[in-house]
Amino acid sequence: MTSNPQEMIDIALFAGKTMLENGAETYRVEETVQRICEAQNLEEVNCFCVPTGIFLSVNFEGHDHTYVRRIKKSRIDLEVISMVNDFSRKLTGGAIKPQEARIDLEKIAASPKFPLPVRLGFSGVAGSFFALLFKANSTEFVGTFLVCLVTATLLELHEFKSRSYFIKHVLAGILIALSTLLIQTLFSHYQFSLNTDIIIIGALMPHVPGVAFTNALRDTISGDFLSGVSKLSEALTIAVAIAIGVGGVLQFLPL
Amino acid sequence: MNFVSDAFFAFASTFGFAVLFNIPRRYLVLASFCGMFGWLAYLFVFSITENAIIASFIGGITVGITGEFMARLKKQPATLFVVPGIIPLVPGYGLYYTMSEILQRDYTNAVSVGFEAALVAVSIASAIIIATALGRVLKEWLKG
Repeated sequence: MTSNPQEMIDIALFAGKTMLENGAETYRVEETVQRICEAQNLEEVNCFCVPTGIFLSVNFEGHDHTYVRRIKKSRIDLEVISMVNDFSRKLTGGAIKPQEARIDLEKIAASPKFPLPVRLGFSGVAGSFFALLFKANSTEFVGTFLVCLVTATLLELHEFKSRSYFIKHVLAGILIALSTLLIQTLFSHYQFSLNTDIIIIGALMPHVPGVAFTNALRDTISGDFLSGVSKLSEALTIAVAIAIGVGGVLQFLPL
Repeated sequence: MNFVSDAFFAFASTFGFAVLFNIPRRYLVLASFCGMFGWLAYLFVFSITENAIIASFIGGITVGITGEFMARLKKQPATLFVVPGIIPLVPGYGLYYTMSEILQRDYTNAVSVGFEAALVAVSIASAIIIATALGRVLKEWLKG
């Protein structure tokens, strides 16, 4: 079955890299890379993975070979994770030939997302319904929807998108605070009163690192300490960035 | 406390996040139910105990078990349902609020809000891990 160990290792690492870039847990990436390598009867397969890189050591032809893949982008795309999962099952089960595997993976990595207007609309839905869980009234519901929509649209601009995650979250904070002020002025002009705190809470929800924070603790509890610490520092830094953005605006333009 | 309207709000909010996380379309509704059940469990326990940490734990367990169940049913990784499902529960706002209090140099408030957020996250995380462990036991048991 083993055609060329090098080729299969490349595929395993590519699969791992795709998963990690789309927000898979590190243990899942380690398991996947390990599974693909071991299906090729490679010996001494050791995969170690942190959110910023994959390290793999494999023994073949009498030597240990070590591979490193650096991971830089990171976002959450659960469809890609599910597809790579299916892919690795099929590959180790023999349903996919190694020659086709690379093309399949490239297809998965480039798989379509929801169209932009749909994503923008649903970021409004996500934030505004969250505000309702915090007992928002109907005016605040509409206000949150608008703030989410404006913020998400502006963040999609190329000038903002290319920045580092820190700058991006500071910008998100600034945009949310500014558009909340704008909406408040607009609504009070038409005699609608609203509680700006609730709007800010709802609009922040798509940006605050709640899931990252919880996942960091999940990793730590299951014994992946390094990846736990690394995600924890990411979550705390994002929270600082957003607080700088929102706090900075409210300091100068109090509500 | 109106459970019916809250159930709908949690469902819709989770649905929105599920789209942002790019969940495969055929699982969007299932994942949203996961978030709804978790939030209902949280609300129910919170209305009895008034304790956000215990309520988050029960909410997390509910999300975890529902997620594991859906994962078995659809032969998909449980993450697909658990990550959107915990959205209504996670202390994202608490974390932001902590940092905002630190930047305003109100350290006392920051410590109390921060510890609450950390404990909520710990209880959700441990609940999910317990649910995953239960799922694995169940899988082995079903295999015989």
